[in-house]
Amino acid sequence: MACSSITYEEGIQMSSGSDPPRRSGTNGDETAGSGLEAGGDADAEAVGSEMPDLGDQWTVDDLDEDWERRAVEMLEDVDFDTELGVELSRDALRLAQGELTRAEFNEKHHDDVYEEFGVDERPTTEAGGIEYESSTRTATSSADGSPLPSVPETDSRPVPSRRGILKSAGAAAAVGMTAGLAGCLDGAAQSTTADATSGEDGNDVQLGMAIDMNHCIACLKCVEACKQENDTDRGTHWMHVFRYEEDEFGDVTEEYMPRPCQHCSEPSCTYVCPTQARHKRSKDGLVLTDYDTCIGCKYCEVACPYGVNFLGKGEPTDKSPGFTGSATDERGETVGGPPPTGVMGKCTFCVHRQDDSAQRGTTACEDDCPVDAIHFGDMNDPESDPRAYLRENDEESRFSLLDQQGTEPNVVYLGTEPTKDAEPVDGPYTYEDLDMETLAESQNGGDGE
Amino acid sequence: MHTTTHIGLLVIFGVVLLPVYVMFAGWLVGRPREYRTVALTVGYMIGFTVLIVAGLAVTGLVISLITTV
Amino acid sequence: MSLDGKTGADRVLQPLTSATKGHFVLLALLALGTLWMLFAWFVQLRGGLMHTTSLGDWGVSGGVPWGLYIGAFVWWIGIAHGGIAISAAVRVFKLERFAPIARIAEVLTVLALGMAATSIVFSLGRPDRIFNTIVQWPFTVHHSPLAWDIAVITLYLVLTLTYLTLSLRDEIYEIRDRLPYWLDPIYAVILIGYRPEESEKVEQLLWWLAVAILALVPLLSGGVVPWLFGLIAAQPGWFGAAAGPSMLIESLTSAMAFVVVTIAIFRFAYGWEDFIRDAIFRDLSKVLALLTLATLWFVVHDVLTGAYLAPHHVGDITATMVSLPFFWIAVLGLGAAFIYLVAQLLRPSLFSVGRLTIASAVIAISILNKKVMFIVEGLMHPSIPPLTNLYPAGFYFPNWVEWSLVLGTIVVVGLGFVVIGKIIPMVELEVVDDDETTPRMGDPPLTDDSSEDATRPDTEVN
Ligand code: SF4
Ligand code: SF4
Repeated sequence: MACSSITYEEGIQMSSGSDPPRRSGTNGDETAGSGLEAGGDADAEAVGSEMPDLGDQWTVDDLDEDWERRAVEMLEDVDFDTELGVELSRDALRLAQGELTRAEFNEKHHDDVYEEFGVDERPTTEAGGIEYESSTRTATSSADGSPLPSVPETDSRPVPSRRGILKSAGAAAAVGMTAGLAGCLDGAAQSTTADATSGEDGNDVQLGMAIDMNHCIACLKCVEACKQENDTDRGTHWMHVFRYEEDEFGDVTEEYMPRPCQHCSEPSCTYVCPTQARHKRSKDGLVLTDYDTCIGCKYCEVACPYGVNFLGKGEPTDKSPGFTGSATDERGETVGGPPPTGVMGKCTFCVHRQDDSAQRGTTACEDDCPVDAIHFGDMNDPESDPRAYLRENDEESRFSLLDQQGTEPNVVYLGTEPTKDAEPVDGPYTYEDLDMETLAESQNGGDGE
Repeated sequence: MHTTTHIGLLVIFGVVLLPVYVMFAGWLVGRPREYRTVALTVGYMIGFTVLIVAGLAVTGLVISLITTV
Repeated sequence: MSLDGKTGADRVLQPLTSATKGHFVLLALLALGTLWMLFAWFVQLRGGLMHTTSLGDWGVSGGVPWGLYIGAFVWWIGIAHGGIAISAAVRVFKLERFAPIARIAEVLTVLALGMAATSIVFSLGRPDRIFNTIVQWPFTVHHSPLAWDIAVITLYLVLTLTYLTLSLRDEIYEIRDRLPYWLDPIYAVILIGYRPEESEKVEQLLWWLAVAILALVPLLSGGVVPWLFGLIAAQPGWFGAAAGPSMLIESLTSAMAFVVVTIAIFRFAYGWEDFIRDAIFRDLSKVLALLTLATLWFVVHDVLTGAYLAPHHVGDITATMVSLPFFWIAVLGLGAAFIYLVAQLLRPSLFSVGRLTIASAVIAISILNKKVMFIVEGLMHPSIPPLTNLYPAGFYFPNWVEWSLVLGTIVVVGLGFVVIGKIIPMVELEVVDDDETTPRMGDPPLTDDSSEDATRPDTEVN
């Protein structure tokens, strides 16, 4: 497919005309990735006017928010899944630059494309002889011919589909378009592949959450959903909802703050780990524990200021039918689901979902929140759910928990940070109500002081 | 990943091992210059290190037998 | 100075060639204690760390993830110093007075380091994977304080073992024909490549080894071990720069106390009153008094900074500390022991080795108590506000498994001494020979009379 035939291309060519200073910070400055350090008051949206130089210095990072906005606009006209289009294009560039092999590219998007368009004619078997067809989890089957997005059934528990409405027309054209884009960029990018990619991991996805405390009603559904999804031990709360009272000069208000692992950008837990079991996955910034390596020394637990770590006890509850996701991630490391006895575990941001194209971009707690208080996605992507939400609510105050600790958490709260005088209360629902009492509650008969 | 924390290398190889470097220097330049005994001592040190490391491996192995039986 | 015509060397060597009834009784008791520990460990290994001990997760569970085991780890590391430091100081600073206790002190260091490592293994959720720390060491040494600890402890152990071996070579060579033949393989290892003319060089090697070991003492107990806690900003109870010096002093105090207890037991058991003279104990008691005072001073310092206009959460920790009976037990123990030490210095008639031993044992145990408190109190009020108050305060009291394992390590050290005391002479023969003018070639009548029932002192250690 010739380059010129693609309207999509114009967005890029257009931007290459203007020639503003290249955005610095995308290559060298590692902290630029977090994008939320400003506490949100100047959300990254403000920098949209800059255009990337599209000379042969192009890198993946240059597909920035402005490029993306344009791409989104165009894709919106094309009437296909916008997010997928953007993601495809982004990866197409990476493909062109050699950061992704075609096999990886196709594997990564095969399911999505299939799901989106009902057809994917690109080859799924590469020279390496890897059968992508068989290796992908066929949760989204369109074999039933349903025009609606099939709802993946994992162990009789319905998992909401990530996509909106399946669009069936013009699939081939759209697929070709993206492939063509990759081809066009090939030439431009090839010469600089080496230096463009050597300075960085080649990927700056950082999964995180925006949690709206103003919405939260402390129904504890997220806690329950997490338990069901990840089959955590009795008394273990990977997700926890703080329920507390603030007394401001006699004006008492009750507040709720859900607390997953913050998947910090500078996690103190990985820093102290003597075995590298606790690590930050470079692909998407998840902080994970390699269950096969961890020696259970609890140093990470002691070093984390958020209290999110729980040593595996091998005491599953009957809340969960058992963990049904894949415990092994794409790298072959055991990081998903409940940890074995004696091994450290904590919230994984449902890593098994992030590696499963059918559920990528969702977490159990986000799905089950009835008031949409939890927004999960790439914190470095301005179009992601959490970033969009933060932008939409830019007049709300926001904070990162224990920001002064230097861990650079990737969960942003909308609301007011609890003060040091916050008094824990039971909230509208207690864990006992839901049969999930904490060990402190079952032992000490109360929530401590 | 931990770009700011390579301090560990400094701590171990720069500070903690300093007395050991001095000791080796003292052994080599010290008055009765006799390298056979020095070599022998270094041999002992390596031997003990191997012993400790191997001991740890065996400990782990034995414990794993106990825990999985 | 020989009694019943036996030379000092004969009497030092006697335990190697003969055993008394008391010896067997002691051996049996210690072996029983060790078996009990192994049983408790078996229970813990089979049942899982979190189920069989009272350790828990902090946060919503209101538990304490590090407790008695880590406290014992820090304690044993501290004790390990005392031994080798005394022995190294004897060599470097020519403190000939203490020479008779140097060997015992060296062995104590080896055993204590072993128990420190064992305590860490106790504390792991998956001890069977302990070797992972070694496998990953090259990658974790950049950043993990625990990896630094592993490195320094291994180094320390290697240096001490080398020191011990080198200092034994001349001696073993000379007396080899009087040593039990069935232990020959061990002596062969100690004597690899031995040549009598190496003595002078070995002496020089030992001197430098001693210097390195002395320099490592502050680096380990005043540096790497406190950094294990002090670098963790998440726990304000631990975070800080002063932890280093105070831990170093505490370590030296407990070490000195433990050395006093150990040599008192040896002296009592083997009737070595003439080489390990009262004067040695008097000198040690002065050092101990000084160190105890310094330790108490750091306690006051701790309480004061925590109580006087401290940030809310730090104040909380101090308040809890002061409200825990354990804190007062520790302070009382240290205080009472200190008062006795000062009193016997001022009024020598109050001095007796038995009393000093009891005071030392009290000090050693009080410091173990304090170390555990330091770890636990920080974790009872973990993190910083607002999370400190939003999470339930932690609760921890060690259960029988933990007590058995930690007290078991003390028993194992006792057992280690009894066994090693059968293999190598526990007092350097050179030292004993200084008291002798008679040649050593005398008749060795191996009688049992100088040994007594040795079970009593052991109960004091526990
Ligand atoms: S919240 Fe704690 S466990 Fe999670 S990444 Fe941050 S430091 Fe690690
Ligand atoms: S408990 Fe496991 S993950 Fe945590 S620091 Fe220790 S080895 Fe690493």
